[in-house]
Amino acid sequence: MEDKQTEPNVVIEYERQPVPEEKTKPFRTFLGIFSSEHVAATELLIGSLFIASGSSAFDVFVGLLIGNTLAVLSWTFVTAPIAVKKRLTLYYQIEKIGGARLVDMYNFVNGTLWCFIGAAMIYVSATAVCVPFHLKMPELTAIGPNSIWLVIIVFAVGAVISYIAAKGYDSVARFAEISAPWMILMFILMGIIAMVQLGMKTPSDFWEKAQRVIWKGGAPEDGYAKFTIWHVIFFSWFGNIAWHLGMGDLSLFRYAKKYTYGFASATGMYLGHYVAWIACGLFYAVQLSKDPANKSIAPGPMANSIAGIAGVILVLFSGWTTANPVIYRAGLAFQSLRPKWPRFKVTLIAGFIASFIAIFPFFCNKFLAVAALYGLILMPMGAVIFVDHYLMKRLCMSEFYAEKTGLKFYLPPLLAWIIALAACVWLNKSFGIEVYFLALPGWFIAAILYLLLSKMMQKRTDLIKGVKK
Amino acid sequence: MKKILFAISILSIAVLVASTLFYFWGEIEFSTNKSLLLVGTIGWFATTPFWIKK
Repeated sequence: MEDKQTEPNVVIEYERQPVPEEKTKPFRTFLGIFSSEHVAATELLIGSLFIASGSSAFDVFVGLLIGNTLAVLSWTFVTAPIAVKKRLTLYYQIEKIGGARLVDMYNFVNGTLWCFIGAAMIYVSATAVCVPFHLKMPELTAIGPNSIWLVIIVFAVGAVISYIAAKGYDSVARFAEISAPWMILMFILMGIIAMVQLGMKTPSDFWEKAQRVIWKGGAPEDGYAKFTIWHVIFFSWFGNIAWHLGMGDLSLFRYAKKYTYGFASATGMYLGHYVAWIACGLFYAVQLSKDPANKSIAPGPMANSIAGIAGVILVLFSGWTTANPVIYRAGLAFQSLRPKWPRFKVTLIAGFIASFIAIFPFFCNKFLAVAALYGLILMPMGAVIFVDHYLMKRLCMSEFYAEKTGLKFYLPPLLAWIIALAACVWLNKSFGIEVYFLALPGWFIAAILYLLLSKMMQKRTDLIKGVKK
Repeated sequence: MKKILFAISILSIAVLVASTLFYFWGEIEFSTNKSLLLVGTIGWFATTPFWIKK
């Protein structure tokens, strides 16, 4: 998972016009953005949750390799080519296709989901603040908070993060830039320290312990789905589906010179979603080796036991620097519904909602499902944009229909979105297909639906009226 | 001045890497490594803001 901390620096301009050729950014910019964005606080949860879900070492190492490669290919061959061709933000493309009202709906859904992601980041930071107070952290199966102190700390951390986000986060973005190289290095170094604590001294030790001690496979913890290699592949591919097949990174790659800049995503995937996830799995394994009964997923105490205060700083900063832009963006998304609302207050409200969610460890303990659901809900709009870009003209229909007809609201994209999600729920309920796999059929269902509904609803008379307007 | 600060940042990173490797090879204690990680961290954050590009 990742935040979009660096995006505003490059995206705030050209919101309603294509990025000019001379304003494109070099390849190294994208390398930096991806490597810093994808080493975030949530990696600390995900790495541990693979172990709780009963993954085996082979499933993790091979599954992550395949899934992350598919994610890189999705960015490179699906998202980036459209971004480079159109050079428009995601939001402006949605507006052109479905009208301004559709963007409002997308923003509302996106803002709400960002509150959940922000909540996970606030919780991660709060676990670091809990360390000096020696608080007992919630169990793996906990739903609500286990003490009033945890609630107070979560709200205190959430309040600070929300206030800074509401003030605008330029300084935090700068701080994130400074801390990113240190953070990436610390994840790797703490992984090495964890290896020593687990008795891994040679490569053969590593694989033997990885199979027998860390990712043992077998039954998952109570309340968790068993993660096979297919789960690992699909989770690592679709963990960021909102940004690649869901087209969220159109806003970023419109600054790319060539679509091949999509390969820059490899830094984020292999550093953040391979090395960091494996390192965080090692942290959790150290905790279990010291006290097998302590299955709570609390990054603060975990990092403290491996690297002391430096580890606690890592957890605190990774949560803080990534929660800020997420809360900021949630505020912007809600504010866009009513531009007269003051952004400061709206961001504080978004921060309060995220902090409230963060007091329930349930959402962090179930973060694999939360992340999968986040991508699943936003993914259909990516399918709509894909079809609009590649197929509309070829099938004698009009792309950017709402813009060309002057419609405020064009129904097919919304229907494709809702019906595709309803179909995913049906696949889940009727055939037991888990949330981790639903995005694949869901994407194709949304694409086909948008095509068919457009065929039924696009009218030449609307286009003529739109041109006259 | 910037060159000196840059050098301290690089040195801080070197401290982080070296202490962890020495710990891996069994040359230093766990508690020493924790202290050196903190030293390297403070060194990085105290100097990097002054030379890293805005």
